[in-house]
Amino acid sequence: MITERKGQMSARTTHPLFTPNSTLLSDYTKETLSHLILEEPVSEFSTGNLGTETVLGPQDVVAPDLGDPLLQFFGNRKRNEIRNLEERMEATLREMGVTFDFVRGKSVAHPWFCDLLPHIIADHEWKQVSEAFRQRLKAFEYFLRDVYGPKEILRSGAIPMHPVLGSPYFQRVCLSLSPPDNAYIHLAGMAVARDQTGQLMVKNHYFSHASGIAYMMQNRRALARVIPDIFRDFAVASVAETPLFFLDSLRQMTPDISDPTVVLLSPGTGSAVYSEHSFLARRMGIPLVQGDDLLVLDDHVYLKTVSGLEQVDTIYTRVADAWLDPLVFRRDSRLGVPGLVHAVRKGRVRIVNAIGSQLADDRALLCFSSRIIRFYLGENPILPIVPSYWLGDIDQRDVVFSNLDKYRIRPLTGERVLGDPDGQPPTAEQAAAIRTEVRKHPHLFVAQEIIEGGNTTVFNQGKRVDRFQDHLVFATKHGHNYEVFPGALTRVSPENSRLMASELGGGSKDTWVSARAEEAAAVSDTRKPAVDRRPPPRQVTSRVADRFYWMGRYLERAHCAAYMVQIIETLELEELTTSERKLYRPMWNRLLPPLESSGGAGGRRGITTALERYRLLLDRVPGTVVSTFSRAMHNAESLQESLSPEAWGTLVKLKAQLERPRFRLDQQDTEYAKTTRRIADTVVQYIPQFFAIAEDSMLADNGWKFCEIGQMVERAAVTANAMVSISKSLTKQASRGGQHAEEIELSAFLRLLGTRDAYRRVYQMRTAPAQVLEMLWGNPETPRSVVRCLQRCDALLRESINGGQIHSSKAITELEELIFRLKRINWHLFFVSAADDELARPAAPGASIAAAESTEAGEFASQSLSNLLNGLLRQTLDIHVAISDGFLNHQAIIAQREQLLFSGFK
Amino acid sequence: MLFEITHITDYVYGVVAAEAYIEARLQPIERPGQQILKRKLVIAPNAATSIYTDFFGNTVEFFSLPYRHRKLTITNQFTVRTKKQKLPDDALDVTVQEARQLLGSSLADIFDYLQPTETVKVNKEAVQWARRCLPGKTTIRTALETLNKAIYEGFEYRKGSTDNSTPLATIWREKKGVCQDFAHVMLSILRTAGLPARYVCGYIDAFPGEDDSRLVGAMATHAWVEVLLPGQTWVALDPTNDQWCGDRHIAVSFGRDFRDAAPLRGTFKGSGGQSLKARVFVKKFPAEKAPRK
Repeated sequence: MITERKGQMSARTTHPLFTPNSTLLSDYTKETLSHLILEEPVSEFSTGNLGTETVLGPQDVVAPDLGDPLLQFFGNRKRNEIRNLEERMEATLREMGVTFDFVRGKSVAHPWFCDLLPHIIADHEWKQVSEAFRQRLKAFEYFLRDVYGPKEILRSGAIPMHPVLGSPYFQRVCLSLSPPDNAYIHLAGMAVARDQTGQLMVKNHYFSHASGIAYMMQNRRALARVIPDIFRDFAVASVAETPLFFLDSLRQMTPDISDPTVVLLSPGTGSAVYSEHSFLARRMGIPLVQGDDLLVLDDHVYLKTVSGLEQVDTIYTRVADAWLDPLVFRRDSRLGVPGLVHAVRKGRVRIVNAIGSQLADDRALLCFSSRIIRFYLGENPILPIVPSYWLGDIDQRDVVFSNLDKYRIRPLTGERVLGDPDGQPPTAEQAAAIRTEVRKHPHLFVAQEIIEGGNTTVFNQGKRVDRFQDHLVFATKHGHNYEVFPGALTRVSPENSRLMASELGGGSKDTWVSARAEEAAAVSDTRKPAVDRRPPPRQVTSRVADRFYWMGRYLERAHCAAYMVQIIETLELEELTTSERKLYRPMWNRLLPPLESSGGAGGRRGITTALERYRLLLDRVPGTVVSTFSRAMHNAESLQESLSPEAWGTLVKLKAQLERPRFRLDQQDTEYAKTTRRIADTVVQYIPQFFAIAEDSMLADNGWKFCEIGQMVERAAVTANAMVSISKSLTKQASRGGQHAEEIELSAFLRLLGTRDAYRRVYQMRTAPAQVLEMLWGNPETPRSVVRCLQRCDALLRESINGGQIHSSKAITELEELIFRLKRINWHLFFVSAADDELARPAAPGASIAAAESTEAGEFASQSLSNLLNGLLRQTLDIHVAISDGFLNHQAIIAQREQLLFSGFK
Repeated sequence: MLFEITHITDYVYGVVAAEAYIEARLQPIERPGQQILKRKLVIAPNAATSIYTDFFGNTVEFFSLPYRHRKLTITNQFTVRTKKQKLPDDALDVTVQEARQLLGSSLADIFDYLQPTETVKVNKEAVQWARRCLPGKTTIRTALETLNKAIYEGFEYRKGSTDNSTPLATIWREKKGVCQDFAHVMLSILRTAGLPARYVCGYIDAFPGEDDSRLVGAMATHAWVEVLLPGQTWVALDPTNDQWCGDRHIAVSFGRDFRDAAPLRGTFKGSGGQSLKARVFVKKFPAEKAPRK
């Protein structure tokens, strides 16, 4: 092994002491695609018209057979033709759902942008780039194994110790872990750019965090759809199989398991590149999961699905180390899985790329990469790096500080650039700010020389314009070598900027490598992935089901409240006499609290005045229609890829309607009433519309089923709550007398639940308590009756179980017991003395004990009725717990396992 | 000496916790002068532990309760025989400067014990104290004893005056704290001076010693400091009690600071807060008959 000690790092570092793990843990909270941003304008070609030079660079680096037809194709087209193609490209990308930091429902959207003109990498350069990439990967793989082990490179003094052991990305925990398949790096990226002389240089390592593969593939797919012609004449190497190659290596990590479960762990929709995670998971046919989907139990990792716990063998993570396990890394992480590291330690699960590999992406180490390559491989680097300086070294810092215009200064990872936001040379003020910030933690910053020469050409509104570019290439570990995917993601800078982020309108180019060059550069000829593409798994994770479930519940809750408000407004305005109102109002107020109870709102609120109803709809406090709806919306947003566009559209429209009126408390009653009616009408119209549209347009998988289950559970709870809320008046009215009052009260009640017409049709008689109870609890035909809702739940749950799962069938047993009970209660027994004799039906055989006990009228009966109602309510609400435990959080299955442990196995 | 230590920790959650994952660093180490005779860890509700050794050499017991529970009690109980060890005179007789040089050759191994941490930061005062108490030309022994005494005298031990979240800067300003703070202050000075040092968490004798003096900090877990000497020997000092540690100190866990060595670290899922109560009971057995020479 050759160990050169050229240019020994100065021993005079800033301070003998370091602050590892201090402030600047960068913005790794959520994976950002910041490194897809072209921060550093670099180009290889001169500006000008669309001649050969512009598109493809100096003749000598271009494969003519690839370039010429391309030039002809674009050269022969008029500006408006090009513009049409641009529009088609945009539409295609949108349709494919390629987004970057694009949050549905927000006004600022960032669809991905791909230029019409592909970038071509010449054969000999491709060879050079892929060899350089492999060389670096090999060296850094050795490096990681060494520093998490014997630390020879540090002991030998080949590189200084501080940038390694003092790096916030050096993970001490790795000393007790072994990396999967004995390697830290399995899927990697690298950025290359050119300097003024045309020399290719390595700009950054993304060895642990290869973001951009999906965008590379999507660019190719989109371009092939929009201009298929340009592909006809050349053999462009395909990148379509990229995820399958990677999946292949993931699956090979567990040779002893015939069909291993591999998942992609994502930070979720908060990530700017969530669309990439989703694309890769779909392409690989593996579940896309978030921290909450996984559970550590007995040192194993399980995926929580609605059909039970499934053991996970390998995790491809897009969550950075620091957020993976709150027990080991950042304690405030909600993206990770507690206990995950321990499962890795026990060898029960593999994490790719290995924990600790992020150290390879630390820019401070980029500065020492040539020495690292020489130390481990005894070779000179095939490609140089863009000259970079670690500012923890005081001499280097002095040099950089003396000429800030010449450098871009960045933290150790991420793409933030200190100084001018547009990448212009810093003003005196900005320069002072840079110095101050760097001096605080100099070892956390790296300066890179600005290497800008010319630029490249993209189409904009049919015109050719100049832009800067660089290229991201990707590779996966393949046996003892690395397979470099024949293509790249070329990043293009946005208009008028040297630094602006892609999210502000920067773009990309499809990037071509000729099939011939690929063959020449490939390390093996087993180019076909061993796994066939499999259909994406249909099992729904419990987290997704849970979100659906709560979306259903919140929507139903918002609907019920809006419906009641709507009815009351109508009654107030059109129908009621003053004396009737007096009877109605207490009823309304009693119905209200149960609606809120699950929202956890503290204060009681009324529904009797126009202002109260206005607030109930639009006040932004918990329990109101607008805030309940926004909870539903919050769940819906996290389900974005599971919802059909039509169903989503309905929710977005409703949201807009709810946001329109300004909430003001200085209005007249008539104004309140007007707004209230309009909004209540809208909600009452849109929410059922959402369910209908979703039913028609959604995949009828378990996810959607849980939305309906949520709706039914909520509806049953609302009805059951309502029944309890009137139980007092049901039993007291007899003594209070006044059949008219009783009737009004009951029919008001039925109306608020939207069941008055149903009552008339079923009973064809005046409203009486026993009938109301019977209908709303036990009549399977009546809309909103508890039994009807529960039966629907039962049917839906039965559909979503495959096989005899004990834990989930427990929920079903509970549900069916309650249904059975509800159907058999003889409500008339409670009203024998109060009601007319002819109304009292004979007791059903085997009437429930509670009912049988209460054949006596009077206090005893009323006591028992209220007990019975409360008992039934509790049982109805318990259905929620049973469903959650059985399908959503798996408490049931775990509790059972624990009992087994107690009973003598351990 | 022979001790039986019982350390009970109660977690009571505000709201039922759905999942809890805990790492316990409660297994006392076996080493010269410290022999573990019997040891058990009782977790209620019951949970199986899974064991590993961490970066700092601690035996960690990992366990999880991934189901609903309202209360968690962890009882650590063991019997230990301690014996006073002779201080490594040779290593203590080198000067501070020589020690720094000798240790410098193994920087890759001791790097962590020289760095400030999130908790143990460096400040001006630490640098001044280092200059005053640990001058390069004195012997390590004198320097350490001077520093130990200086902290003991310069800081006031006051129970309950601080908690785990009190920043070290506050301790420096107010010059009072508990054993953990004394240890952190000492670590920051030692590291500033280039002497590798680590945090120790353990228990101490609660009964009067030979000279009838009682040790401070016996009702809870105690904390002190170990310093690495040339020849890779650790020596232990207790700045809270102004003495070298001996047979009345029982070491359990080590780290760069309290956060590494914390006896219990965990996370639970639940909306409410939690309250923690820890109690330590020390039972001392009558002096055993000294074995005949």
